[in-house]
Amino acid sequence: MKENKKISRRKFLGLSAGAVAGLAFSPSIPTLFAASKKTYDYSILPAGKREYIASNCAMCVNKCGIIAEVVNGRLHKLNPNPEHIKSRGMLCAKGNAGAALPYSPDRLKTPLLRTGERGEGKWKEISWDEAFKYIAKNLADLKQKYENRSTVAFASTEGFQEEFYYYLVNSFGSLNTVRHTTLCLASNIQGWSSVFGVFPDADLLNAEYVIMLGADRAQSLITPDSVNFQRYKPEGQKLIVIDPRFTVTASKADRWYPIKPRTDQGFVLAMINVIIKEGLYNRQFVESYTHGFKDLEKMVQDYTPQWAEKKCEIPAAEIVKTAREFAAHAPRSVIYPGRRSSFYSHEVYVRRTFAILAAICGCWDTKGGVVPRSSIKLNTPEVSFPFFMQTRDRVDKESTDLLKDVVPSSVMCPMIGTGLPEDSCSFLSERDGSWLTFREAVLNDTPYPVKGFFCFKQNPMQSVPNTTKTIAMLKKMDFICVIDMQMSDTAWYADIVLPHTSYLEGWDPATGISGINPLVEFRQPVIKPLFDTKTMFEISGGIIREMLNIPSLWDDIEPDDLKNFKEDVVEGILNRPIQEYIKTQVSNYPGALEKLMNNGFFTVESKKPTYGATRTPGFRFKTKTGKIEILNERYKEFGLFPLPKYCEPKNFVQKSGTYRFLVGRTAWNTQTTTQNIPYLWEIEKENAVWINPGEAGKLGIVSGDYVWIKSRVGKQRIKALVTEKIRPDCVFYSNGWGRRSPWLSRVYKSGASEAEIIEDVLDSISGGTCLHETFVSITKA
Amino acid sequence: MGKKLLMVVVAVCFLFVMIGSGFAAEKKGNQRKGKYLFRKNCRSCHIDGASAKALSPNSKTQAQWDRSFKKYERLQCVDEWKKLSKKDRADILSYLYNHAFDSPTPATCG
Repeated sequence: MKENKKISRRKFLGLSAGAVAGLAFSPSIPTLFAASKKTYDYSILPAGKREYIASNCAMCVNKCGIIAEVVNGRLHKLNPNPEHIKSRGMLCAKGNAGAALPYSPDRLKTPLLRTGERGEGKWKEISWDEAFKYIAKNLADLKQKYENRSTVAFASTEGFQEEFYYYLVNSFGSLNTVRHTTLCLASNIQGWSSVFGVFPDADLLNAEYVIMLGADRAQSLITPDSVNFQRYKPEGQKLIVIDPRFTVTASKADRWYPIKPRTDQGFVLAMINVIIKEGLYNRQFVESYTHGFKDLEKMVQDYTPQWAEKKCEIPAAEIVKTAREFAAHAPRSVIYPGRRSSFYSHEVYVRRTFAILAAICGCWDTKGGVVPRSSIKLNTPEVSFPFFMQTRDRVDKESTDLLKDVVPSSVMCPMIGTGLPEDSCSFLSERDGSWLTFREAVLNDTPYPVKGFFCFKQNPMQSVPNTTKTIAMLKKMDFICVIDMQMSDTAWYADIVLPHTSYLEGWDPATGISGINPLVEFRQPVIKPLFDTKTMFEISGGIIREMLNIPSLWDDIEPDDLKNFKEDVVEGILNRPIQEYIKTQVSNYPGALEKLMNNGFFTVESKKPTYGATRTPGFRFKTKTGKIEILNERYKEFGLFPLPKYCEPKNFVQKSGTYRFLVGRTAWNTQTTTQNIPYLWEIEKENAVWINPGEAGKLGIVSGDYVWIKSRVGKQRIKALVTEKIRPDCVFYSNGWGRRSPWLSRVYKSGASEAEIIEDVLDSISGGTCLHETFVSITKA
Repeated sequence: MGKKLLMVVVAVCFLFVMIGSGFAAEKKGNQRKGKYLFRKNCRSCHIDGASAKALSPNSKTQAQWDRSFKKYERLQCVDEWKKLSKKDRADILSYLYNHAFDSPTPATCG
């Protein structure tokens, strides 16, 4: 019998934390961590000690490679890293402006405790010790009072330090976490995964034909896609952009179709109709790898190009042409998955339809198609947290009877025939939750009261639709703690605000970035911290250590669990330098740490792009049947339409004098985080609403006029931009303006906030928000 | 107007029923406890570098997890299984099953 080689809990940690514990005293570590700061002598540059330090950007989600140029200890400039395989020598306006971030006078510089009413702006500076004690005491009080750890909710967004935020979450034991995903791409992930089992990337570097629906890759930057589709696109690649707006991406396209909003699914269904009817699909691929093609064939018979023309307001002949071209270039044809998909209530079906088009043409896991992502596995310590008895299930899972407020009849599709509500079932990612259902649950104290709120890097006051409800939610809290770099609009309503170290001043753990070309990144300080700030690693450690001084916080766990927790999590990780943690993470890859220090990233040879691993006989996809599910068996089981039927609200007519509100990004701002950064503020000082000239004429509005834009939930004052670049039936402005925090001094009350006017409408399958389901009226201010 | 309102009420009721049915496909054990127990009792062997094959929920399909739990007496580590109560095993299975390779648990955005 094989020896039962068992790794004890401590020994297991020894593989990770323990292994580096020895190394902590080795002279090689500080030497290695110091050696990366190469000093060059460029005689043409001004005199001074000039260092070039590799790290990675954090001005948006992309994490592009940067080389910081530091002169005499001050950050002089951020340059792109030409060797970086994801950003490929590109650093955008936001990335460049990061150099101004540490020195911004509006940064939070020390912990602040509220002394006046919430939102009154009266604060006193306190020490970190005081802050940690205050927070731990409040956590203990909340647990004592409500006898449920999930009464404290934790919001956060992506970022390298987020994993340490979860150390705090798991050490307290709440299950109520809510992330940005349902404000962004939850429906996209769900839609594509319902067909292929995973959410893929597009191989734009090798595609011959690309269709982008509603994705503005030239403005809403995603690396490597934004770089690839412009700078490195192969000769002859055709780009078709389908969008109600003439976006910057549309200006780079071969053809632009100004589609009627909410009808993208119809366009693609008609393409599928043509491709099947004319026998242009990939028969061999369909037979070998897919499930449900015959059902699809039957279902799309009615979705003719002529039918779609009426829905989409795009000529049938153009749809036919696009379908034939797509099929002719397949498998090197991409229907672009894109990123944010928080558009409409039926968005999961829109994205399912995109995925099915890719599937029937065999544009899967092949050069120039859509390709499953690969990743590099790190040796990140797997730690166990205690099992807390006083923890109830998530509120957004238990509170589904509140959804009537966020699934209004105006977005419901007929019960018999097509669409919602037969399609109503939430698939929630555990950490992500669903912002809208979470907020409804809190507002209604159902199924239980949520009375504590932590928020790391997220800004729900600006990012979650219907600000009035967000304010009401915050008012229900006994305790609010916000951790951020600046006084966000949410921080303004907090009880305690903790200043986070900038990405240029601290260490961030190694993090795998999945993709066609996967890599591992980290961050190292390029300058010394300027203020009394801490990273989430340090903040979690500080709060947890104080929590350990309060016995009532640990009275619902096994005594052994507490002992193990202290040894493994506190002593083993949080009480040690983060560099040891990083060293452990990359310990499986010889030379990886040196590469991180010198280049800011590393990759491994075996992860170079390969295609076709899933196109082998017998490959099992992450679906119920193990096949690519054109007909989704799981949806059928849950009572959802298993096929991508066209979804639209019954008898919907847009009221005269109203416009569908669209929101999006510019290339120089990230959500709500960058508007106040000095260099970026120089580019844009307030946003403006796009109005079609015909409509503007009727309203007597010219560019530069201020207007009121009003929905059912709020109104905002904003400057008008009269432009042919938008259809007459909708209006648009960019996100992140109309700020409520006076400490964002450059942009306070400048422009209009989208969250104030967008109605809170739920995509009830993915739990996502629907940011394009609001109609507004416009009047001259 | 009344008919319209009735339609909405019926639709909303239907919606709740469907949501309930969606979750009904999950195993009913305490998956949070299951995760804790799995890490405490199973991962010590079923991890890279130990004697047994590394295992996580994603390692098997739902059907495979079901089979493994039904026939655990054939496994080498049957003695370890016997230390667990029936409820513990059910909790561990619900964690593994609900997060299995072919489970509907969606990916997230990191």
